[in-house]
Amino acid sequence: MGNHNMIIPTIEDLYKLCALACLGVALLGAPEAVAEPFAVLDDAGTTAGYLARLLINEVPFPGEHGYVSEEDSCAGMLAILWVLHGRIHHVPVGYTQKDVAAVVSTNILDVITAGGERGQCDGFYRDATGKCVYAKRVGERVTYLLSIANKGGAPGRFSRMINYAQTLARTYVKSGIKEADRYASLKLVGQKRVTGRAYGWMSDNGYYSPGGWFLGIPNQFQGALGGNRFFTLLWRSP
Amino acid sequence: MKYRIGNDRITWRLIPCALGLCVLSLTASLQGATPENGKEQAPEADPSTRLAAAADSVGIPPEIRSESYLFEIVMHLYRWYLDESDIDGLSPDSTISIWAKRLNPKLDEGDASEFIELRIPALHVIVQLKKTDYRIEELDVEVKSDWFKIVDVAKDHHKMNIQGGSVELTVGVRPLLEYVFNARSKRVLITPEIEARLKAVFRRKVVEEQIAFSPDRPEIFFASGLSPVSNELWLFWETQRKLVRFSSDVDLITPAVWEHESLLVDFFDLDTQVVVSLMETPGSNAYLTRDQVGRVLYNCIVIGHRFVVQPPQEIP
Repeated sequence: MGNHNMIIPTIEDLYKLCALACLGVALLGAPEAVAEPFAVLDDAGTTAGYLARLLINEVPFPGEHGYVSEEDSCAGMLAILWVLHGRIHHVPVGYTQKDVAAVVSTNILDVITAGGERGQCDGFYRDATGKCVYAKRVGERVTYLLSIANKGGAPGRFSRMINYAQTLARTYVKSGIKEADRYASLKLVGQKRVTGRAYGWMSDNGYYSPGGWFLGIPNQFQGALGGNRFFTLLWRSP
Repeated sequence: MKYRIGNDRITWRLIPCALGLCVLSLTASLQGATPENGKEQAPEADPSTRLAAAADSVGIPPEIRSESYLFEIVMHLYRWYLDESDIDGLSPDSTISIWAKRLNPKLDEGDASEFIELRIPALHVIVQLKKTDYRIEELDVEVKSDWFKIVDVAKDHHKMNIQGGSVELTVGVRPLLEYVFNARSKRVLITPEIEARLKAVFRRKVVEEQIAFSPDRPEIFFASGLSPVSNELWLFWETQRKLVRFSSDVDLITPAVWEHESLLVDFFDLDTQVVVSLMETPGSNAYLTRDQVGRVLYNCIVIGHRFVVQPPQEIP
């Protein structure tokens, strides 16, 4: 029993079809295989995506002022994460969270955005609707770094550093920080008794300090990482 | 214990002779005269040779040791970081010790950059220098500088520890003061190429930030100029009341660096980002102090370069 509407192609038809297909490929090109990007960031609307963008924004990449090495910049990212974590979970005796973080909250996004656009983390703030956003220049730089990271035939430093930031952020959101805090056991800076741990960082310039009870961690304790100087707190009595 | 050496008259004649012989032999040995092996010893090296040998042994290259380079370093510190009170205590007839030490941080594979630290106790500063030498594969850019450039300056008012592996370099205070005095109003002009690059950056920023320009009012800029020992350039954008910092690991005179200007630029708003003291905003990294701003304005306006962007021809 046949279907009266069925068209059975002849050999000649098949040859014509192949020729047409070849012509199509020649004119339009073969469909491109979609390559996996070397570096990917989570959506900026997620905690891990927002945090990763902060970590990327705060350290130098190759060619930028303050760049020493991939390892140094990644160490800087980890130290910054420890600062944020410390402002929530390791407020030292003698201080309140407000003293060290300018906010009272257990939410890392609140700690990052404290103080507004020119707050604790320059360029990271909540907009009028309460959404976590960042300054245009931050977005431009991150976008540009991503574009560099995904160039070429093989992943390089840019992609590794971006992926490190994202992995660090994702892991933190899920389960915390695996790596040790290099400043946790600091007790003395010069003759001054300190709380240990870092509670602040400033980029670039070792000539100025963040003020108040913050004290720069010297080079002998790896106080300069990823283009930043890290600051502990002077010890205060309870 | 007392010794007698014979007849007293003879003794008294012999003693001066013996003493004379001792003096002669002592003098001869100081001049490196014949030791037992019969070879002459080389005369003691002069101070500059000894310094060169000491510096070479700890990896401090000759360019760091040159007086002209050290003068440029101190000149940069003088213009950008030091106050008159840091200089007032120096005696014109004295010297400043600059302790140079090679640093060996762990670098990326293939990175041959060099780092030197200078500690200057008399000025209470620690300066970190870098001579870049690496490649950015993703951008196909060579990052290589001819000179050691300042990458960080830190203040240290404590008694400064001089670390092992350092060599002492010295500059005379009087010649240094003469140098900075003679150069006090030397205007460090940016090149036409740099000016063109800066204008291109601002053209893009105008579009991106949708900055409103008045067709009747030119945009006025003052640039700080490029120091041979720094990869940093500041701009005072007078009409928009902003400071702009261009900084890079690549020499700013290198054309390739300007093709990646997103990596270069920081903007500071004078109306919202200046405090007198950072104690007003402890823990924040978003502000400049009046002191910092004052230094930038001095370098941009007093000894910098003024240029104008005329709308509408040069701004889209």
